[in-house]
Amino acid sequence: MGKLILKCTNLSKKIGKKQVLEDVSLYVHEGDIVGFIGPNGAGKTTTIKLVLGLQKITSGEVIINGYNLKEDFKKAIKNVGAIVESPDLYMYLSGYENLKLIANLYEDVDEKRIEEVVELVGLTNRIKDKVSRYSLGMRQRLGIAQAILHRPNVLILDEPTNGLDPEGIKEMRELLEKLAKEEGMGILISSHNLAELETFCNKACIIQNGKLIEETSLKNLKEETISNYILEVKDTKPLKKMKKYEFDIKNETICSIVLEKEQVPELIKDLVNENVLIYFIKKDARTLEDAFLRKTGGNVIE
Amino acid sequence: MNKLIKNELTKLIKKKSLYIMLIILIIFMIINNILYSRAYSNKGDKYIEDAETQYEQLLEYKESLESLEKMSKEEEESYNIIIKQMEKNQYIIDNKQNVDAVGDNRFILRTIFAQYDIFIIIYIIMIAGTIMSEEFNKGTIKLLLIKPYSRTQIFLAKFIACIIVLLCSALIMVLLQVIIGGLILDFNSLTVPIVEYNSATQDLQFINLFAYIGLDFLARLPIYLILLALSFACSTILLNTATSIVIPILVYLFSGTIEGFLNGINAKWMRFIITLNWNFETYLFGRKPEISAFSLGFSVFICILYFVIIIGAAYYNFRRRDIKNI
Repeated sequence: MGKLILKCTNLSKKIGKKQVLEDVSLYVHEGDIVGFIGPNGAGKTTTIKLVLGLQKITSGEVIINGYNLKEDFKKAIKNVGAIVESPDLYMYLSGYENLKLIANLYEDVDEKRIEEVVELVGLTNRIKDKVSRYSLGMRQRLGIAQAILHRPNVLILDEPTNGLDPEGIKEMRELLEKLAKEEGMGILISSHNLAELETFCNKACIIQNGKLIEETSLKNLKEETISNYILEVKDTKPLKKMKKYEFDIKNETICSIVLEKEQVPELIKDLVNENVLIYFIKKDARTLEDAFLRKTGGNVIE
Repeated sequence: MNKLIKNELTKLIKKKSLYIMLIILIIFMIINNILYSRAYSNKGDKYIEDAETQYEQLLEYKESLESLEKMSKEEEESYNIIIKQMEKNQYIIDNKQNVDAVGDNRFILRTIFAQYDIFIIIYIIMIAGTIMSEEFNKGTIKLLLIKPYSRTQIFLAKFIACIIVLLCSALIMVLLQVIIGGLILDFNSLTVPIVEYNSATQDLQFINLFAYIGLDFLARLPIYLILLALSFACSTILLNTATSIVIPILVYLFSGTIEGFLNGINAKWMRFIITLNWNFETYLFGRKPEISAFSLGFSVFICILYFVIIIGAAYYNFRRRDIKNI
């Protein structure tokens, strides 16, 4: 595990009487791609805004690259790149002019770097066009370009795959993996799109109602022992009589059931005893979505 | 912070509205100059004749005053003014310079702010009124706030950019009039100095035309700065472009009305109204305001006070603001 570059400890945010975030702690190391997951209204964007200094922290601490955000804002934020809610671009300027404005504000970003980044995100042909003429996907890509222009080592992305087609998502994934591996960036991505995050991330943080309810490596999340098993049998009618098991009967031949791994052999034995003819029994590949829904138990916005 | 200011100016220059306003101003100026050229003719030496005639009339009046045993205070003042006016006329006759000309390029230039400053005012209100609110409404403010610059620096950079725009628009306006006026009217009159009677020194003062324009601009600068500050503050605090433009324009429009009321209502608290204190032309050349409640020192104090309160409120608000859903 690389160096700890983003450390949030016990972040809390209160707006009026409402406790929007409570004791949220996050850690991002060099080379990590951390998925920040939660239902709508959970506090993902609020957490990100606190980390970036866009909102005041009620209590808790944010330390980026060793610098405390509150005490040393400029040094802390210097090596951070971010997209919050949607890429912030001046629509009446060209992509290039937008990047030039950012380049001006940092010391070591020159023409060459701008070209490099434009090529990295695949916008070389359209960079001189006005942003108002870009498609959503192009704007997302320009947003990424903006965020990485100054070679940050922490990248914070709020729903970066919003509006991208599958090709775009694939490119984004490859780009982020490259940045994490080759440039040692630590990346924090918040998203709803769990299927995508699954392919990117090596760690996940699940947040609900302002509280962190899970922080784990992705491998662990998916390897829990309770799984969904799918069966194909000749006739599902006899299964209804088997009171011992709660089958979810899909149609005349397919059904599913949630079981512990250890219960499977016994199920097969019981089915055979009932003269149920089995074609196959298969473990439903545990998706991040299942894990997420299982953890959050469906979403109620308080 | 220079980089921030440079960025702000770059963003402003690339806006189309700048050029539209410029074109409107040029068209207006051309029409104005053409109208003046049709209405007035400053050719020939008639002005010398007029100066000589007036000199004779004043001489008579002067002598009649001198023949009085004792002059009242008002008569003494008139006497001094007559003497100075005679000196002015003598100057005109001796130097053959049409110092009181109306309708030549010099005339338009020496009254340039009275004629055109509505353009400056509208333009700076538009710029200052959108510079914060637009960034918040479009979300691009987030881009600025996550850069290694303090909120103070960002705030100041935007404000200073507005002031630079103010100064540049005044300069461009003067240059445009010199050129347009020169082509339609004349270039010659620009060399004739401005001759003003200074009430403090009780003497004639001679001042180069462009120095006079500079002085006039400085005298009106508080008006422009206060309106700019008001617009900027509304933009920052209310985050609404429409109100940020309308409120300062209303203040400017009503300033004339309020002055009218001053003569009718003689309330002491009225001295604290900013619009009664913001035009320093009333203090140029040693002049004193009509109403004794006002003085140069007092007006300066009121202007600074309002300015500090308006900008202070905007700054405080900007520093403390939590960025919500944008």
